[in-house]
Amino acid sequence: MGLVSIRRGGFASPSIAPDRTQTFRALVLMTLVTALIGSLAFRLSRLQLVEGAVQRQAAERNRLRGLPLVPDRGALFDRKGQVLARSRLIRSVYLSPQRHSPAEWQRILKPMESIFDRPVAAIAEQIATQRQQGRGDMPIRVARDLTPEGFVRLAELDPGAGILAVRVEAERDYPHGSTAAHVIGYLGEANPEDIKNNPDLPMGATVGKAGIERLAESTLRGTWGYDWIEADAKGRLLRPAGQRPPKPGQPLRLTLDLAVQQAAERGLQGRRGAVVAMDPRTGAILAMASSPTFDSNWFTQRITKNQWAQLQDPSRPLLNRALQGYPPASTFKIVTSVAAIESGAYSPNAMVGTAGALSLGGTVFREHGGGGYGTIGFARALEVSSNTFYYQVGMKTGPEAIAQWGQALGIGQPLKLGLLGSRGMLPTPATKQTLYRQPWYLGDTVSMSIGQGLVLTTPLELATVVSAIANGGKRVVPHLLANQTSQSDFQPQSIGLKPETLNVVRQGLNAVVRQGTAKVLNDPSLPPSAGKTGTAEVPSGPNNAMYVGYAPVDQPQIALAVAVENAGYGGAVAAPIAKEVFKAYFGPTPPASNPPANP
Amino acid sequence: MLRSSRWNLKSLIQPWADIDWVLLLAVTVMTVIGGISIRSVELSSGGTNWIQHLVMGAIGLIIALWLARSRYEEVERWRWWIYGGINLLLIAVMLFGTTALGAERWLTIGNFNIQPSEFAKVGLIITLASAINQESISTLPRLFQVLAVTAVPAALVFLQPSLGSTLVLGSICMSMLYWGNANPGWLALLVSPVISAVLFNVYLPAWLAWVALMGFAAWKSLPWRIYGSLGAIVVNLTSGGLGKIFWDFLKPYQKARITMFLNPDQDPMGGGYHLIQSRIAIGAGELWGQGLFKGTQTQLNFIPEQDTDFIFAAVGEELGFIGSIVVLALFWIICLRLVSIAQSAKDNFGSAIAIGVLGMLIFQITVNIGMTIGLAPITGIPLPWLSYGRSAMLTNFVAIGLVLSVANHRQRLRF
Repeated sequence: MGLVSIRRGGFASPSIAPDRTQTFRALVLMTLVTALIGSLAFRLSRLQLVEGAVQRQAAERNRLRGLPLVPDRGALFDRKGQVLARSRLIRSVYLSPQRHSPAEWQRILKPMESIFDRPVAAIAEQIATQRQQGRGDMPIRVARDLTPEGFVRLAELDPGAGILAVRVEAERDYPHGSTAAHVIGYLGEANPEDIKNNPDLPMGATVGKAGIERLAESTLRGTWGYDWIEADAKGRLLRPAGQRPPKPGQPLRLTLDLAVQQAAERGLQGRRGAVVAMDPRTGAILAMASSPTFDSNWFTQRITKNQWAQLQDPSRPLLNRALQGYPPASTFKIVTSVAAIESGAYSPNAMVGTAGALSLGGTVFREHGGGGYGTIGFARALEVSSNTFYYQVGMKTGPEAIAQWGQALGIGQPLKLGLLGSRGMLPTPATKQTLYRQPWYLGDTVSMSIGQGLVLTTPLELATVVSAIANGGKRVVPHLLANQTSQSDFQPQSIGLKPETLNVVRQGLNAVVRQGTAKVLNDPSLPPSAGKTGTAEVPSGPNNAMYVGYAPVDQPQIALAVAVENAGYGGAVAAPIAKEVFKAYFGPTPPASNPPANP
Repeated sequence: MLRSSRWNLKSLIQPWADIDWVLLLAVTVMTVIGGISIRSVELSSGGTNWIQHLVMGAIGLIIALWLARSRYEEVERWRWWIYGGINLLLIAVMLFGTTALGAERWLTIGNFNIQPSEFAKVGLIITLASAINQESISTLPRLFQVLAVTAVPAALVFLQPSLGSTLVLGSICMSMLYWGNANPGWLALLVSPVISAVLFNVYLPAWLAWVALMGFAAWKSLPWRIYGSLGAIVVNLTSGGLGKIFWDFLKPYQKARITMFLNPDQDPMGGGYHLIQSRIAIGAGELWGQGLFKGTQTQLNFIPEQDTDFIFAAVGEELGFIGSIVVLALFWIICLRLVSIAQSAKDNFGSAIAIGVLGMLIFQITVNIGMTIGLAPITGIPLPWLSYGRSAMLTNFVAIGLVLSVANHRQRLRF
């Protein structure tokens, strides 16, 4: 027992050599010590070796404050090299907060208040906010685009070295203001999501918010540069820590033709509507005008109350009407003709009897202009825009075939344009049931065949349709960037129209200009063109005026669609706008042979 | 011949002939690393704590050497004076102390801030070593005597309030009890309610398993098996529930302070700030470190209180993984020497002192470094010899001095 108690205890008597249990306890303690220190070492190896690079980056972010350097945004040119958007150098004034209190700042800056963008109180408030965020010393922009007078005044009143600094910065400038504003778009302050997607962007950076500016943002923007400054934990700026110069963005050439665009906008001035002109061979958009419009420059600067009020007008100036659905009215007869012949319902030479009115299923559908045109073929029917002809053709062809060929020609198809807008709609009994929960009536077919009722097409789609007639049956892919014209996924697709179909439709469209509803375009100063007018009955107010056409008739270079809301007859309102656009495209007319054309 | 030529030097170091030079060297190197690290932290602010650190280290070294040549057994006679003294100091600090940083309390005497909770550590080591020396802790009454002796200063420190220092006292007590032949089952039962409370809130099946295990431990180790194991089970069951009640009783910010180290990113500018910045600093050190005096986190003051509790962040950032491992290795060597001295001591008093010092150091090392690298919550425990703190520096050197004396006066084998 005594021996056991000594062995177990080891403390019964002072022992020189450690006994067995004591050695065991020493081993247990040392194992515990090794495990504890080992786990610290293991964690350190993770933190310093595995995650080391990440943690060092975090340390860099901690210590470096970047003063953003604006890159030169890439310029935008039209197809002929005319400047649509460019960077303009401006002088901005930056304030370095340093160690004054906001109250002291108010006192120091008060005499110069006139040169700042904001009241001095607002600047002092921003300094206070920034300090709370631990970014205390970062310079704040207090004036942008300093005028020469402001510059002189600044020099006179400089409150002391190092407080205010003038920096040269680049700012977006649209020399033609509102021209093609819906296409070019505008810039705005980057929102949190933009910054999340591009961690490179500093707070308050401007990015493209609409149009090409948004679409081609990554090309145009370039890379922000930074003046790095080392700061301590309190946000005090200590010393410069290098610079990354900004890299300018790439310039872009658009397919737009400034002269054509301006002509289209002149034509639309004071009205609501849209014009789309494109090269029917490629789908390159030469003009895309929407009225009313706005000035892209407004968004670059602080928007004034007046500008804001204009943008909020009920006529919705920001809306791109070239991408809004309109009832195509008689311009849709092109689609009905193609569908009738290509579906096999009619031969290209088929003749149909017209009348003053048709009674269909108990409803009387009238021909316009009274008496009917006798028994006529497709070309003549297009020329005189006979409704009773197309009522009958539409009923025999059926809504599905019309919708199918309308889609083939480019209506209601997804776009690769990248602009905000909607697509047209070609109703069928099935879609009507789905969308409106209503059955399809015979009247729906009748309305559809003359482009009324539920049919909606955008001006861009109408230009695509008429381009297919002009280019021999290819559906173009509308695009706005010049380099897209040669890209494989922007090449026109053949839709397999028979030459006879094209022939008969073209004959009709030629006749419309030569002796039909668009005689205003029959002008010796212009190459011969072909087209189709349309006058859409709309529930609100006067008719919409529509026109589609192309020129020259033998080798078409430009196809267009015009839509003017509540303006009257297509031939009277829309066709003259088309004429202006053609004129701009084909060059100035000799003064001598410039007859007064506008009705 | 050789012997006689070195006679003078030999006679000079004769009083220290058998001290543990490795241990002495290790703590001296630690003190110097601490001084350099504090210098680095103070580089931008121009503070002079690093000089004080080195001066106090030198004083501590002298005291340690003086203690090393003295006979440590003498101390045992003073144990109740020492015990009474530390408790009086702890009461005094509660009455007259000044608060710094909300937790630790100081007694200001002249120009010197005394932190009695530091001296309490070494005082408790001496008192407990003496208790163990008189009789091993092989019976339950002895165990409770030792616990009672520990409880008085521990309670006083806890009321300061300094949870960290209380836990250090607990660690000292537990390690010395283990060394003093207490049944490991008893020790497990002692800490079991705390573990039970934690497990109950973390993972219920583990809690149930723990309760069963403690019942078994009580059956095996207690003299009255049935009542013992029943009692252990009841205590563990209720402490699980009580822990939950206690936890729910805490305010959200108090809960957050305890669990913040698990996910400091939940409050990066508030409670998680220290932890995040320290983690970044140490991680950014990578293998070789940013270089002495070149750590950006350290130099630009991203880590508050870096010269005291967060000094290891400076080591990790500026000296890298290599430097950190050197520090850990030195600590490991110190621990190894302490265990070795404990084994070769000539009596139980000396042996227990060495283990008490081990319990004091290893707990502080683990919790302090663990805190800087996201393994432990912030508790305000300094890192021995590296953190700036004069009371702690003195305490640590007194402790090492006592241990050196134990080594110096162990039974020598003479030929």
